[in-house]
Amino acid sequence: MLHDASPTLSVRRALILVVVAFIGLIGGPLGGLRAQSLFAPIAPGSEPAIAKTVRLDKAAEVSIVDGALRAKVRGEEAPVPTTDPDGCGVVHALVQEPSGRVVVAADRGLYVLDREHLIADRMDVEDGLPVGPVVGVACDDDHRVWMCTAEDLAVVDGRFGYNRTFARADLPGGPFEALHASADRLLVKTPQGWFAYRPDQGKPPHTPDGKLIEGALQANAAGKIEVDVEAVGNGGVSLRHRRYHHHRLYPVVDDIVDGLRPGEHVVEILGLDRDLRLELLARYEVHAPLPPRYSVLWLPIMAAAGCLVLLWLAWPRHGRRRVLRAVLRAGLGAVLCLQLLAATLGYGRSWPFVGFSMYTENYYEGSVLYKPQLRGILADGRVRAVDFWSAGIVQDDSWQMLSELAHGPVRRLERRLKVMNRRRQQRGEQGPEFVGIEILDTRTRLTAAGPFEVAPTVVRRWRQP
Amino acid sequence: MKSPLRRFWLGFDRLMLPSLPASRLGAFRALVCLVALYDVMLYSSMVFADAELVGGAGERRPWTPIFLFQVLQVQPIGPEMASIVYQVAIVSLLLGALGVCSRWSCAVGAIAFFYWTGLAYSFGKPHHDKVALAFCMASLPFARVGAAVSVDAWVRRKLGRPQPDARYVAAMPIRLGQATLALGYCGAGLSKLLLGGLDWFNGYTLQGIMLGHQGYWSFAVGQSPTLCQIQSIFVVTVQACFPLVIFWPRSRWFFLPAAMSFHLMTWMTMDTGPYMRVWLLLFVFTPMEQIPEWLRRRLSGPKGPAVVVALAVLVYCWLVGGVALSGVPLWGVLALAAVLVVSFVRYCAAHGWNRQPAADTTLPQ
Repeated sequence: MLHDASPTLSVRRALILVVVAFIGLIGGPLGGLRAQSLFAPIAPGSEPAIAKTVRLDKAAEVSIVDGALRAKVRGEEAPVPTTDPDGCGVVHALVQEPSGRVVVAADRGLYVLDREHLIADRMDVEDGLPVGPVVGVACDDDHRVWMCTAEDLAVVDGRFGYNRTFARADLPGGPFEALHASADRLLVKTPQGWFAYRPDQGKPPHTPDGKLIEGALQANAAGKIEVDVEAVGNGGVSLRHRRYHHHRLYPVVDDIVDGLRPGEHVVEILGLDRDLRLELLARYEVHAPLPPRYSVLWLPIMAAAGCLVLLWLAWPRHGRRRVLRAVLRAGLGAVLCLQLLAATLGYGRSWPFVGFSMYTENYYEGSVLYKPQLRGILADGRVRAVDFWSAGIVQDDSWQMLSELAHGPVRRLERRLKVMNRRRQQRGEQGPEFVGIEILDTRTRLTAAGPFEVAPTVVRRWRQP
Repeated sequence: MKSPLRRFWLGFDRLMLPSLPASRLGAFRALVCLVALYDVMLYSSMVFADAELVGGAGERRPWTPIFLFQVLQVQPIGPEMASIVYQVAIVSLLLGALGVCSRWSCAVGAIAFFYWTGLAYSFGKPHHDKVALAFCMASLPFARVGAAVSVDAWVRRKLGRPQPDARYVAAMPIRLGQATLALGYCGAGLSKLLLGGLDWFNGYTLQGIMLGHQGYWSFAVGQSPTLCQIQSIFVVTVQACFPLVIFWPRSRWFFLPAAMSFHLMTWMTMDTGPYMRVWLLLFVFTPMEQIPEWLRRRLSGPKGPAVVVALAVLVYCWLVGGVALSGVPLWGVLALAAVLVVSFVRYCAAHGWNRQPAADTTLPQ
């Protein structure tokens, strides 16, 4: 039988070979595209296991049980509450970031929690993520949180919330069911099996000639500059900008950087590729002039002219010491008028004539309050909050100097670490020294049931080698 | 028939250039100079830290000069220059507080204070807590601030020189201080109403402001949005209606403690710092020259009220002293306390320890 069947098999094989040869002939030009396919099926038997439980420490863990999140602390199990008034919906996956924070994929989006804050809170992400239930989530060592819905795949920066969504044409056929990240691959589960994607291939975002653009620009009266930066990178490059002494990275929309207050600025333009690789493309020194109404030439001249008019109006027609009385009247009147004017215009740098716009922003149910915190990592692994003065940081605005520590080179962290240890010695503190620095953005969520401190964002963690 | 313009300026004179006891203006001068002295000392660590980095190694804060510095083209200074400015400020403000060459020392002290503050604010954010102090300081040289409660007046008496007609003087600095404080509170209240709108009173806003700054009591006081809603209404009412203290003096019994409580609460709930410059300047609304007599009569009266008054004074002094220690050395605080106690004891000794009004009271009725 077997022998009889051989001719039939041979014919089939011959037919398959003919078909393959035909495809090879007509599909030659497509061969290159096939070689660049982003996702490749993985070998059978090497499929990863998707964990449904994350261990937070020796005594605590969180798990997905019947689509709900439950925490077990010292043997006691309880559902994990959420700050979302509508709940998280069905929980599909969870993963722990290297910082210890747990990211949860649920019907209503991404949520975060950690050991100190066992309450699921909506993760801070910018607009642009795919809509629909998040069915898979994975993290890697580069602060990237990969997430998928049934049809889309996206990656979010776990610290600042900016994100990129893959083009559907680049993705394997869905619907997607789960995600897994290993050292150098991202694995996506579909009904057809697992597919692997290797991020960070090729060069990170760069200018066409590979050089850093540097220059000086003048902002317009509205505090805007137009930048001309071309960049290439995987999946196209989107541009972001950061100002020195500010920690957030804002998108560059239509080549415009806005929000520059009067004064001198250093603006960095950074390129972001599909895998969220961030590269510095351009650096500009920007002068943002005062609005015309605050001209350093004309405003004093106008003020002086106003005082002269006031002096003329205030001049007493009768009585003694008329010059003195007139000057006092005009001076006082001018000071009061300028105070009222400043209260209306609200330009803070005109101190001591100031406006009163402080504390006028509104918060609502669901708002998040942020406060940065500097922490020192001790040699025994413990982490301790450090006040700015103890780190030798002079600043009266939360991120003014801390942002440069968060984004700057390692030598800044090394220097700060030395200062922190020196101050400890000066205070006569015993115990292990600081060996690293952690910069957190603490978060408090306002809810109808009261405020909740929720999982903070670790903006930077560094340990000296 | 007076012209409307003349009527306006006469009214302006009555309001802004009133004749008040010279001793009140003298006490006000001492208070303003001492508060400015505390402020200069408090900011010294920040100014010196920035000055150390000017022209040196290390990451410096960005220099974003205040408008006045932009007009005058002022540049940041190094540590040596900062040290000179600091010494000039300390000496002149101390002399101003004592009333030595009062007008000149106040003038130099005012310039040094403005320069010192401008340096700190040009490296950081300008704040509101010393706006009134700045205007009071700047106005002192333009009034006869050394006519009483000063070394100048004491020397004139000792040398037998003719005393100026100093019982009542034009107290423009006091009125300017009052107007600035009233405008500041009112502006802060109205801004919340106009910029924040009714949503500012939703409870979450005040809760967010409190918790966003993480003071000692933030979580305790800011727990309930409803409680925060009630506090929002109270805060804005006190701020927006504060100018009543100028036109309706009796309302000071409510607004002055309310304003001070407000600052103490923001300290505890919003980590704003004590704002002591502002609540010490609230004395500008009180007849300061009457305080010793008022205290003497209360303390020599029935024991119950006397103990309450004594305790209140002690708590207030403890609070001021405790806050001052953040910038002033302990010996400075103790020296000032000793001067005040000795002055009061001498006053009581001179006027008797009973409740009877002082025989020769220099107080206006």
